Amino acid sequence: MISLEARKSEDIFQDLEKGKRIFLIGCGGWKTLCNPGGEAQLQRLKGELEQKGVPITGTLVLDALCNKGLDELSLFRHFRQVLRSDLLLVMSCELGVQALTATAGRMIVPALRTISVEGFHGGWKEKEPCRLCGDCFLNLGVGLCPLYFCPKGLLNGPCQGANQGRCEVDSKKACGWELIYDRLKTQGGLDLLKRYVEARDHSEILPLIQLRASVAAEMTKE
Amino acid sequence: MTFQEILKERKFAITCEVSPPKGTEVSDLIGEIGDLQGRVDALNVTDGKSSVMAMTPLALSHLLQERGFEPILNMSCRDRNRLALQADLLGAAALGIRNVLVVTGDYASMGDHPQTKPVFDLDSVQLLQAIQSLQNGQDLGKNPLHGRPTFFAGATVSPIPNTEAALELQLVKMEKKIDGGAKFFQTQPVFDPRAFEHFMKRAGKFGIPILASVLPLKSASMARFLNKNIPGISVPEALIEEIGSASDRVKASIGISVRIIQELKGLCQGIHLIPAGWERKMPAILEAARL
Repeated sequence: MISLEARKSEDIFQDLEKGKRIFLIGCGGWKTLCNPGGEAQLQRLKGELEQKGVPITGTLVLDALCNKGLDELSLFRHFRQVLRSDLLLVMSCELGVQALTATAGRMIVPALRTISVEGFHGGWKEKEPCRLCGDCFLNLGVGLCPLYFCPKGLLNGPCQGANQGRCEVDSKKACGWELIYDRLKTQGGLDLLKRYVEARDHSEILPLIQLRASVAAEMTKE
Repeated sequence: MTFQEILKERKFAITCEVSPPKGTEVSDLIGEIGDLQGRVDALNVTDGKSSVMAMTPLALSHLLQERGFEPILNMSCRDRNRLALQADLLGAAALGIRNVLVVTGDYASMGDHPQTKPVFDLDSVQLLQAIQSLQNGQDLGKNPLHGRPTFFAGATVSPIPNTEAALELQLVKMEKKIDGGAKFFQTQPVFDPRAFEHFMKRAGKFGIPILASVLPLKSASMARFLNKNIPGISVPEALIEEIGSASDRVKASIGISVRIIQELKGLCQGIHLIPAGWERKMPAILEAARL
């Protein structure tokens, strides 16, 4: 079961930046496995965006955004609208966001935050690079999360420990921020590096703690 | 003249690093740096350098200040969350400590307590923002302060990283640190002034004082160790040969440091000495470099 909640509207609007054209992508989700909201939630968010004057180039709801093949096919069908947009605003779990960024080659902003992933993980057959931080920073690295790829969880750029692109903590691994740099460079999003990212709100992981406690309580009942 | 005034008046500044002891005994350390009195403008007091547990730099900064030195309190993001960092900043201000150097901090697994929980609640840019907020009379929770501190905050930069991405990222982060309130920078040790010049061509546009670090090269094996293990440090092969073949290694080492300092003099606004055990030899280096 993947549990999702909406990110704070003010955080989403801040990430969208003024004047940027948005293509809105939703996920129908796997029945009983996750709750990304599908068409209904997407329309609600669309209304909110339009009220604030955010230009929207189009919308699309997929059955399961965590399926890369499906993403590719669907984006291809909507490529004109996608190309007219500056950003993809994505209403799915972090897997959907990561699957999409792996295929779309566009800058993204997550609209939801993944707070728990217990059991089955949708249509994603790879490693799951998510720290379940209670927020979502996948936009900072266009699908590469700095919290996940940097052991220090630095949000405003790397430390000075990388050597030949390798992390100071584990020289077998790449420096997460250099990976992010390469991805942003490829996608023409290097300006994103300049944005100041405020200190994390750790109270956002409280729902996860509560959720785990309730699961634990259920288990002891049995 | 204070460290801040020296930098403000665009004079050449000299700082030196001291590391607090592992234990309560500070008299040895105070003895070793005695000759630096009046020769350096300020002393950086390291904060759990290389993740090795040692006395809090806040206490040593205070002790040094009592003895007439001007401290620069290093603050690492590794060991304290935002409550503890802000609390120590208020404490430092109450003790009259004005200079603060903000660093991310080495990862805990590199030190002598690898089992510990690394914190990194704030990163260096966020900590600079926190300092600014405290100076404006408000903590990070937006609560008012009873008495606000005044700091002269600085940060660090790695001038010669070994990939294009790392250099670009250093420059972007440097700009963020300046926006966050950093008023000066100290660098990783420089052994190749030409490479440093290349960095200064990019970083000079920020118009902010940069102090290049100078670390005495004690032996060829030390140089090889640095090249292999310490990121952002590249000792040119010619220097390794020079120190390796010298009959008087101490003399050769001092000679190399002096040469580097003289080349750096025209490139940036100061130097930061990292004695690494050679505290007593620092005055001779400064003397020979006519500083």
